[in-house]
Amino acid sequence: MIDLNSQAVPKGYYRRIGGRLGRQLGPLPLAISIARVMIGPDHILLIDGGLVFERYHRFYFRDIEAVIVRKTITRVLSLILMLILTALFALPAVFVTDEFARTVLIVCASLTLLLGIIGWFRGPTCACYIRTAVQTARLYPICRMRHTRTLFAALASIRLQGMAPE
Amino acid sequence: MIRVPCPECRKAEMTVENGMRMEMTCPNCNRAFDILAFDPPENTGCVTQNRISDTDPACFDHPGKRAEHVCDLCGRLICPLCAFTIAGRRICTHCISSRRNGRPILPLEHRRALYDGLAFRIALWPTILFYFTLFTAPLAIFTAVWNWRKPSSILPRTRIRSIAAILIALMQIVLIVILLIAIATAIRQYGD
Repeated sequence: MIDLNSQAVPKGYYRRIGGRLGRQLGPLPLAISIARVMIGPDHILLIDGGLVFERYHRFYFRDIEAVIVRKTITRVLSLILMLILTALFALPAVFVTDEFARTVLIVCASLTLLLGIIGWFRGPTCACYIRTAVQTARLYPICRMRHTRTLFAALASIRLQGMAPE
Repeated sequence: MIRVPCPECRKAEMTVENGMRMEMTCPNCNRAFDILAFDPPENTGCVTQNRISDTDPACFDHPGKRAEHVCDLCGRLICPLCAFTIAGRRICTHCISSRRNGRPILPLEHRRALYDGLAFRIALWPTILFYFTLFTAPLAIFTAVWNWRKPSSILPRTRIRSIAAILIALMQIVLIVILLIAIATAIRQYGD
Protein backbone atom coordinates (compact mmCIF):
# COMPACT_ATOMS: atom_id res chain seq x y z
CA MET A 1 0.00 0.00 0.00
CA ILE A 2 1.42 3.39 -0.92
CA ASP A 3 0.83 6.76 0.67
CA LEU A 4 -1.29 8.58 -1.92
CA ASN A 5 0.00 11.99 -0.88
CA SER A 6 3.68 11.12 -0.72
CA GLN A 7 6.16 12.47 -3.23
CA ALA A 8 7.47 9.11 -4.36
CA VAL A 9 6.54 5.47 -4.15
CA PRO A 10 8.41 3.40 -1.56
CA LYS A 11 11.53 1.50 -2.54
CA GLY A 12 10.72 -1.89 -4.02
CA TYR A 13 7.20 -0.88 -5.08
CA TYR A 14 8.18 -1.11 -8.73
CA ARG A 15 10.41 -3.67 -10.39
CA ARG A 16 12.19 -2.69 -13.56
CA ILE A 17 11.81 -4.87 -16.62
CA GLY A 18 14.10 -4.35 -19.57
CA GLY A 19 16.70 -1.68 -19.94
CA ARG A 20 16.68 2.05 -20.47
CA LEU A 21 16.17 2.90 -24.09
CA GLY A 22 16.70 6.29 -25.66
CA ARG A 23 14.73 7.23 -28.73
CA GLN A 24 14.62 10.31 -30.88
CA LEU A 25 11.45 12.34 -30.45
CA GLY A 26 12.02 15.08 -32.97
CA PRO A 27 14.49 16.59 -35.39
CA LEU A 28 16.53 18.32 -32.69
CA PRO A 29 19.51 16.28 -31.45
CA LEU A 30 18.58 16.93 -27.80
CA ALA A 31 14.97 15.75 -28.23
CA ILE A 32 15.69 12.32 -26.81
CA SER A 33 13.38 10.38 -24.57
CA ILE A 34 14.76 7.71 -22.27
CA ALA A 35 12.06 5.17 -21.55
CA ARG A 36 11.84 2.62 -18.75
CA VAL A 37 9.25 -0.02 -17.98
CA MET A 38 8.42 -0.79 -14.36
CA ILE A 39 6.03 -3.39 -13.09
CA GLY A 40 3.97 -2.56 -10.00
CA PRO A 41 1.50 -4.58 -7.94
CA ASP A 42 -1.46 -3.78 -10.20
CA HIS A 43 -0.07 -2.03 -13.26
CA ILE A 44 2.78 -1.62 -15.71
CA LEU A 45 4.35 1.83 -15.64
CA LEU A 46 6.01 3.20 -18.77
CA ILE A 47 8.23 6.16 -17.94
CA ASP A 48 9.16 8.48 -20.78
CA GLY A 49 11.92 10.73 -19.53
CA GLY A 50 12.84 13.81 -21.51
CA LEU A 51 15.31 16.55 -20.71
CA VAL A 52 13.13 18.17 -18.07
CA PHE A 53 9.88 16.24 -17.81
CA GLU A 54 9.06 12.67 -17.04
CA ARG A 55 5.80 11.28 -18.40
CA TYR A 56 4.04 8.30 -16.89
CA HIS A 57 1.80 5.88 -18.73
CA ARG A 58 0.04 3.29 -16.60
CA PHE A 59 -1.38 0.07 -17.98
CA TYR A 60 -3.47 -1.64 -15.34
CA PHE A 61 -3.46 -5.41 -15.49
CA ARG A 62 -7.24 -5.52 -15.53
CA ASP A 63 -7.24 -3.38 -18.70
CA ILE A 64 -4.61 -5.33 -20.62
CA GLU A 65 -6.18 -7.46 -23.31
CA ALA A 66 -3.02 -8.82 -24.88
CA VAL A 67 0.75 -8.59 -24.95
CA ILE A 68 2.13 -8.78 -28.48
CA VAL A 69 5.73 -9.60 -29.31
CA ARG A 70 7.42 -9.50 -32.68
CA LYS A 71 10.94 -10.73 -33.29
CA THR A 72 13.11 -8.16 -35.03
CA ILE A 73 16.40 -8.40 -36.92
CA THR A 74 17.98 -5.49 -35.06
CA ARG A 75 20.53 -7.82 -33.46
CA VAL A 76 21.76 -9.08 -36.82
CA LEU A 77 21.76 -5.58 -38.35
CA SER A 78 23.69 -4.09 -35.44
CA LEU A 79 26.22 -6.94 -35.62
CA ILE A 80 26.68 -6.37 -39.36
CA LEU A 81 27.08 -2.63 -38.76
CA MET A 82 29.64 -3.22 -36.04
CA LEU A 83 31.57 -5.70 -38.23
CA ILE A 84 31.64 -3.16 -41.08
CA LEU A 85 32.94 -0.51 -38.68
CA THR A 86 35.52 -2.98 -37.35
CA ALA A 87 36.66 -3.69 -40.89
CA LEU A 88 36.80 0.05 -41.66
CA PHE A 89 39.08 0.57 -38.68
CA ALA A 90 41.08 -2.65 -39.01
CA LEU A 91 41.93 -2.50 -42.74
CA PRO A 92 43.74 0.86 -42.64
CA ALA A 93 45.57 -0.35 -39.52
CA VAL A 94 47.28 -3.01 -41.66
CA PHE A 95 48.70 -0.47 -44.08
CA VAL A 96 49.41 2.47 -41.80
CA THR A 97 53.09 2.82 -40.94
CA ASP A 98 52.72 5.32 -38.10
CA GLU A 99 52.71 3.43 -34.80
CA PHE A 100 50.38 5.85 -32.96
CA ALA A 101 47.79 5.87 -35.76
CA ARG A 102 47.90 2.08 -35.93
CA THR A 103 47.32 1.82 -32.17
CA VAL A 104 44.34 4.20 -32.34
CA LEU A 105 42.82 2.29 -35.25
CA ILE A 106 43.31 -1.08 -33.53
CA VAL A 107 41.72 0.25 -30.34
CA CYS A 108 38.73 1.58 -32.32
CA ALA A 109 38.38 -1.71 -34.21
CA SER A 110 38.52 -3.68 -30.96
CA LEU A 111 35.88 -1.45 -29.36
CA THR A 112 33.44 -1.77 -32.26
CA LEU A 113 34.02 -5.55 -32.38
CA LEU A 114 33.47 -5.76 -28.63
CA LEU A 115 30.24 -3.74 -28.91
CA GLY A 116 29.03 -6.03 -31.69
CA ILE A 117 29.81 -9.16 -29.67
CA ILE A 118 28.13 -7.73 -26.54
CA GLY A 119 25.05 -6.80 -28.60
CA TRP A 120 24.92 -10.32 -30.01
CA PHE A 121 25.23 -12.04 -26.67
CA ARG A 122 22.54 -9.86 -25.09
CA GLY A 123 20.09 -12.03 -26.95
CA PRO A 124 17.54 -11.87 -29.77
CA THR A 125 15.75 -8.54 -30.23
CA CYS A 126 12.04 -7.92 -30.39
CA ALA A 127 9.33 -5.29 -30.32
CA CYS A 128 6.78 -5.56 -27.52
CA TYR A 129 3.31 -4.03 -27.52
CA ILE A 130 0.53 -3.86 -24.98
CA ARG A 131 -3.03 -3.97 -26.22
CA THR A 132 -5.81 -2.44 -24.15
CA ALA A 133 -9.38 -1.78 -25.14
CA VAL A 134 -8.51 1.68 -26.43
CA GLN A 135 -4.91 1.60 -27.58
CA THR A 136 -1.88 -0.40 -28.60
CA ALA A 137 1.25 0.99 -26.98
CA ARG A 138 4.79 -0.05 -27.69
CA LEU A 139 7.03 -0.77 -24.72
CA TYR A 140 10.28 0.45 -26.21
CA PRO A 141 12.60 -0.67 -23.40
CA ILE A 142 11.44 -4.26 -23.78
CA CYS A 143 13.57 -4.91 -26.84
CA ARG A 144 15.11 -8.29 -26.01
CA MET A 145 13.37 -11.63 -25.88
CA ARG A 146 14.67 -12.28 -22.36
CA HIS A 147 12.89 -9.11 -21.17
CA THR A 148 9.72 -10.41 -22.77
CA ARG A 149 10.05 -13.70 -20.95
CA THR A 150 10.41 -11.77 -17.68
CA LEU A 151 7.30 -9.75 -18.51
CA PHE A 152 5.29 -12.85 -19.41
CA ALA A 153 6.42 -14.59 -16.22
CA ALA A 154 5.48 -11.53 -14.13
CA LEU A 155 2.06 -11.26 -15.76
CA ALA A 156 1.47 -14.98 -15.39
CA SER A 157 2.36 -14.89 -11.68
CA ILE A 158 0.08 -11.89 -11.17
CA ARG A 159 -2.73 -13.74 -12.92
CA LEU A 160 -2.19 -16.63 -10.55
CA GLN A 161 -2.55 -14.21 -7.66
CA GLY A 162 -5.84 -13.05 -9.10
CA MET A 163 -4.74 -9.50 -9.85
CA ALA A 164 -5.15 -9.71 -13.61
CA PRO A 165 -8.27 -10.89 -15.40
CA GLU A 166 -8.58 -14.63 -15.00
CA MET B 1 -12.00 -14.17 -28.58
CA ILE B 2 -9.92 -11.00 -28.74
CA ARG B 3 -9.38 -9.16 -31.97
CA VAL B 4 -5.89 -7.68 -32.03
CA PRO B 5 -5.06 -5.21 -34.79
CA CYS B 6 -1.58 -5.63 -36.25
CA PRO B 7 0.60 -3.14 -34.35
CA GLU B 8 2.87 -2.67 -37.35
CA CYS B 9 0.61 -2.14 -40.37
CA ARG B 10 -2.68 -1.49 -38.49
CA LYS B 11 -4.57 -2.70 -41.54
CA ALA B 12 -5.49 -6.22 -40.50
CA GLU B 13 -6.72 -7.91 -37.36
CA MET B 14 -5.71 -11.18 -35.75
CA THR B 15 -8.13 -13.17 -33.66
CA VAL B 16 -6.81 -14.83 -30.52
CA GLU B 17 -8.51 -17.10 -28.01
CA ASN B 18 -8.91 -15.60 -24.54
CA GLY B 19 -6.29 -16.67 -22.05
CA MET B 20 -4.13 -18.29 -24.73
CA ARG B 21 -0.63 -17.67 -26.00
CA MET B 22 -0.55 -18.05 -29.77
CA GLU B 23 1.78 -17.39 -32.66
CA MET B 24 -0.06 -15.46 -35.36
CA THR B 25 0.86 -13.93 -38.69
CA CYS B 26 -0.63 -10.69 -39.91
CA PRO B 27 -2.59 -11.44 -43.11
CA ASN B 28 -1.65 -8.05 -44.53
CA CYS B 29 2.06 -7.55 -43.77
CA ASN B 30 2.95 -11.21 -43.09
CA ARG B 31 4.83 -10.36 -39.91
CA ALA B 32 4.83 -13.03 -37.23
CA PHE B 33 3.68 -12.16 -33.71
CA ASP B 34 3.67 -13.99 -30.42
CA ILE B 35 0.45 -12.93 -28.67
CA LEU B 36 -0.48 -13.56 -25.06
CA ALA B 37 -4.18 -12.77 -24.70
CA PHE B 38 -5.93 -12.27 -21.38
CA ASP B 39 -9.53 -12.91 -20.58
CA PRO B 40 -11.65 -9.75 -20.65
CA PRO B 41 -12.40 -8.30 -17.23
CA GLU B 42 -15.64 -9.33 -15.62
CA ASN B 43 -18.24 -6.62 -16.05
CA THR B 44 -19.44 -6.22 -12.49
CA GLY B 45 -21.17 -2.92 -13.19
CA CYS B 46 -21.85 -0.41 -10.47
CA VAL B 47 -24.88 -1.11 -8.33
CA THR B 48 -26.17 1.58 -6.04
CA GLN B 49 -29.00 1.18 -3.60
CA ASN B 50 -31.59 3.73 -2.52
CA ARG B 51 -31.85 4.70 1.13
CA ILE B 52 -34.68 2.85 2.80
CA SER B 53 -34.86 4.85 6.01
CA ASP B 54 -33.44 8.09 7.40
CA THR B 55 -31.01 6.15 9.55
CA ASP B 56 -29.32 4.74 6.44
CA PRO B 57 -26.04 6.53 5.68
CA ALA B 58 -26.43 8.87 2.71
CA CYS B 59 -23.90 9.41 -0.07
CA PHE B 60 -22.31 12.89 0.09
CA ASP B 61 -23.14 13.62 -3.55
CA HIS B 62 -26.26 11.51 -3.95
CA PRO B 63 -28.43 12.07 -0.85
CA GLY B 64 -30.97 9.54 -2.07
CA LYS B 65 -28.40 6.76 -2.39
CA ARG B 66 -27.12 4.57 0.40
CA ALA B 67 -23.43 5.17 1.23
CA GLU B 68 -21.41 1.97 1.29
CA HIS B 69 -17.87 3.26 1.51
CA VAL B 70 -15.83 5.89 3.30
CA CYS B 71 -13.31 7.92 1.32
CA ASP B 72 -9.84 6.91 2.53
CA LEU B 73 -8.54 10.46 2.19
CA CYS B 74 -11.29 12.81 3.39
CA GLY B 75 -13.66 10.44 5.19
CA ARG B 76 -16.77 11.38 3.19
CA LEU B 77 -19.48 8.75 2.97
CA ILE B 78 -19.82 7.69 -0.64
CA CYS B 79 -21.92 5.34 -2.72
CA PRO B 80 -20.32 2.81 -5.11
CA LEU B 81 -20.85 5.25 -7.98
CA CYS B 82 -18.61 7.85 -6.33
CA ALA B 83 -15.93 5.44 -5.12
CA PHE B 84 -12.78 4.98 -7.19
CA THR B 85 -10.31 2.29 -6.26
CA ILE B 86 -6.79 3.65 -6.62
CA ALA B 87 -3.79 1.71 -5.33
CA GLY B 88 -6.07 -0.44 -3.21
CA ARG B 89 -7.93 2.49 -1.60
CA ARG B 90 -11.37 3.94 -2.14
CA ILE B 91 -11.28 7.62 -2.98
CA CYS B 92 -14.12 10.04 -3.72
CA THR B 93 -14.34 12.27 -6.78
CA HIS B 94 -13.74 15.40 -4.68
CA CYS B 95 -10.32 14.19 -3.51
CA ILE B 96 -9.35 13.27 -7.05
CA SER B 97 -10.32 16.67 -8.44
CA SER B 98 -9.19 18.82 -5.52
CA ARG B 99 -5.49 17.90 -5.84
CA ARG B 100 -4.73 17.48 -2.16
CA ASN B 101 -1.81 19.56 -0.87
CA GLY B 102 -1.62 21.28 -4.24
CA ARG B 103 -0.46 18.10 -5.91
CA PRO B 104 -2.34 15.37 -7.72
CA ILE B 105 -2.72 12.01 -6.05
CA LEU B 106 0.44 9.99 -6.60
CA PRO B 107 -0.98 7.11 -8.69
CA LEU B 108 -2.79 9.61 -10.94
CA GLU B 109 0.19 11.78 -11.78
CA HIS B 110 1.13 11.58 -15.42
CA ARG B 111 3.91 14.15 -15.63
CA ARG B 112 6.60 15.61 -13.42
CA ALA B 113 9.39 18.09 -13.95
CA LEU B 114 12.82 16.85 -12.88
CA TYR B 115 14.49 20.07 -11.79
CA ASP B 116 17.44 18.27 -10.21
CA GLY B 117 18.32 16.71 -13.55
CA LEU B 118 17.81 20.04 -15.28
CA ALA B 119 20.13 21.82 -12.84
CA PHE B 120 22.75 19.10 -13.32
CA ARG B 121 22.61 19.47 -17.10
CA ILE B 122 22.75 23.25 -16.92
CA ALA B 123 25.85 22.91 -14.76
CA LEU B 124 27.56 20.18 -16.74
CA TRP B 125 26.93 20.76 -20.43
CA PRO B 126 28.28 24.31 -20.78
CA THR B 127 31.67 23.19 -19.40
CA ILE B 128 32.45 22.18 -23.00
CA LEU B 129 32.25 25.86 -23.93
CA PHE B 130 33.61 27.49 -20.81
CA TYR B 131 32.41 31.02 -21.65
CA PHE B 132 28.76 30.10 -21.13
CA THR B 133 29.39 29.05 -17.55
CA LEU B 134 29.45 32.73 -16.59
CA PHE B 135 25.67 32.66 -17.01
CA THR B 136 24.84 29.00 -16.57
CA ALA B 137 26.65 28.40 -13.26
CA PRO B 138 24.48 30.88 -11.28
CA LEU B 139 21.43 29.60 -13.18
CA ALA B 140 22.24 26.00 -12.21
CA ILE B 141 22.61 26.97 -8.53
CA PHE B 142 19.35 28.92 -8.66
CA THR B 143 17.50 26.02 -10.33
CA ALA B 144 18.84 23.49 -7.81
CA VAL B 145 18.17 25.62 -4.72
CA TRP B 146 14.81 27.08 -5.80
CA ASN B 147 13.38 23.66 -6.62
CA TRP B 148 15.07 21.83 -3.73
CA ARG B 149 11.79 20.95 -2.02
CA LYS B 150 9.76 20.28 -5.15
CA PRO B 151 8.99 16.61 -5.80
CA SER B 152 11.21 14.88 -8.29
CA SER B 153 10.47 11.58 -10.00
CA ILE B 154 7.78 9.32 -8.54
CA LEU B 155 10.46 6.66 -8.24
CA PRO B 156 12.72 6.91 -5.20
CA ARG B 157 15.52 9.31 -6.09
CA THR B 158 18.25 10.98 -4.06
CA ARG B 159 19.23 14.65 -4.30
CA ILE B 160 22.66 13.75 -5.64
CA ARG B 161 21.99 15.56 -8.93
CA SER B 162 21.10 18.81 -7.21
CA ILE B 163 24.15 18.56 -4.94
CA ALA B 164 26.41 17.72 -7.89
CA ALA B 165 24.95 20.63 -9.89
CA ILE B 166 25.61 23.07 -7.03
CA LEU B 167 29.17 21.78 -6.53
CA ILE B 168 30.02 21.88 -10.25
CA ALA B 169 28.51 25.37 -10.60
CA LEU B 170 30.44 26.60 -7.54
CA MET B 171 33.67 25.21 -8.99
CA GLN B 172 32.93 26.97 -12.27
CA ILE B 173 32.29 30.26 -10.46
CA VAL B 174 35.56 29.87 -8.50
CA LEU B 175 37.42 29.18 -11.76
CA ILE B 176 35.82 32.21 -13.42
CA VAL B 177 36.81 34.42 -10.47
CA ILE B 178 40.39 33.09 -10.57
CA LEU B 179 40.49 33.68 -14.33
CA LEU B 180 39.19 37.24 -13.94
CA ILE B 181 41.73 37.98 -11.19
CA ALA B 182 44.53 36.58 -13.36
CA ILE B 183 43.40 38.69 -16.33
CA ALA B 184 43.15 41.81 -14.14
CA THR B 185 46.62 41.17 -12.68
CA ALA B 186 48.09 40.62 -16.14
CA ILE B 187 46.51 43.82 -17.46
CA ARG B 188 47.84 45.75 -14.47
CA GLN B 189 51.35 44.35 -14.93
CA TYR B 190 51.46 45.03 -18.66
CA GLY B 191 49.80 48.39 -18.14
CA ASP B 192 52.65 49.48 -15.86
